[in-house]
Amino acid sequence: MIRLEKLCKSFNGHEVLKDVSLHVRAGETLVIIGASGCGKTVLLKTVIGLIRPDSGRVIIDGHDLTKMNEKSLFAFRKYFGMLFQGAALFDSMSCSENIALALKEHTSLPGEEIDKRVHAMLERVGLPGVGSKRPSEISGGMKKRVGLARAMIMRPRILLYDEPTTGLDPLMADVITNLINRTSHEVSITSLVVTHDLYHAFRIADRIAMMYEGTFIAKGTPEELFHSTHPHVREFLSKQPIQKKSAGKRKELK
Amino acid sequence: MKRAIIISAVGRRTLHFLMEIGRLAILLYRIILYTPRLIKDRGLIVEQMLKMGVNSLPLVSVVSIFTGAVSSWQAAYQLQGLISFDFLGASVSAAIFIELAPVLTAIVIAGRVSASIAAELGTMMVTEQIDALETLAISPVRYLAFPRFTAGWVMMPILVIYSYLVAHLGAFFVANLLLNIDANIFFRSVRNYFSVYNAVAGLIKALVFGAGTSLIGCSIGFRTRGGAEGVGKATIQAFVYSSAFILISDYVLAMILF
Repeated sequence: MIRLEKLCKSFNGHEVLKDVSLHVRAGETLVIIGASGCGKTVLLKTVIGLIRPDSGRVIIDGHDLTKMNEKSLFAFRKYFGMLFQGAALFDSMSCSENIALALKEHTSLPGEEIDKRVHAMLERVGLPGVGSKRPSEISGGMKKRVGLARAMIMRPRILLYDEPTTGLDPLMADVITNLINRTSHEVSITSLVVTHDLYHAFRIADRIAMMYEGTFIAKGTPEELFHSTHPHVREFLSKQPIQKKSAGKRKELK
Repeated sequence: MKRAIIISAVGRRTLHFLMEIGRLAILLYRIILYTPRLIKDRGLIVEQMLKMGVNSLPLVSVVSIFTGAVSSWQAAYQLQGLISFDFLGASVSAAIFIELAPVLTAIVIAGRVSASIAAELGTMMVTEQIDALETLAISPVRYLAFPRFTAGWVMMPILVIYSYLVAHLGAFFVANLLLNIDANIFFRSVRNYFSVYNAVAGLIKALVFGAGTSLIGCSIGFRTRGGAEGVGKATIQAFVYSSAFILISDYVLAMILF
């Protein structure tokens, strides 16, 4: 479904992505872990075409995104949804307007139908009744859920998550994790998740890939990664003791 | 050594200036490509027109009334003893049409609109809202820049027409109340020497100023980096560049039009 081939990207002479290759299968949830600043978010933005790589290819269902012009890229992005680290809600709009925007722009659905879908989506993420609120009036966890609702409203085939649990309290992080799991199971979406939160990474991942200084140093199932002997992987995993308990207990739904 | 440093600094500045022009030209081209969306996106355009136009009226009113008033007083001071005050209306009116209303309105709008566009888009940029718009398959140039640019060049001439009227009133109040010039004499003088060409030339200037300032605001907003500090810098930069653009293009247009 998603194939990254030898991606390279530099900013001001600093190499952020070095020959990155990855294959994400249809319907799977692949989690990219790694320390802050190792290139995870740049990789995610390269997958959706927000950043053009210096070299390499991003192939989605056989189409190379790096070769597309702006018009084709925008058309292709309708396959995607993305949840941003800070939710990136449009602060000039209410939560409902945020979620409805893509429907208004890309469909000819009547207003009533759009309202119905937005309401259903808000219920799905556990936030009925916040539609009229502005992003500045809701908490960080609620923002992420509205952001997820906005990302899912067009029923995308691929969902990208940038640090979905970062900055949230443990209970809210669990809520988001369960939402990601539910989305992957019920709608069979291909998910690419970037995080350094190992506890939740092991709960949602079908496979995990670890980035270190702009390249992948380990890929495999959570169990395989947990037993990796690579020194950087061992060091990274050892920093969060909680992951040992959660390894092998993936996809627990409340 | 010192000469080399100066040459290098001048070269760098020149390159920076040319790059800035290039960026504006590319953004303008990309905006123009969305012209067929004029009807479909009218809601977004009208929203921006209200923001730029209606909300700017109080400021334009204050600037225009005092511009008219001071130009009337200054003209009286300069004409004293040279020619009759019967010609005061005509001389003030020509200045208002050709120069004062378009340039001062545009500079006020540059402060209010261009800087606020840069701040708004800059904030959206640093909080990833523009990235979010792109991931929703919505072009930021179409959704954000096109309505602002269109509203800019449409509203500026309308504001300048309003400024023409208010500035004339300001000039009249001073002429009538302080210089004891009769209303009939003042307005007859304005009417007798009124030139449609001058009024239209002022509106052409306003159109160019409106297009330029909104384009500069959008271009700087889209390139904002570095959090709150970056937004602050972008806001100042938009105002400075827009003001410089107005004054330079005013000179160029004066050469062409008069």
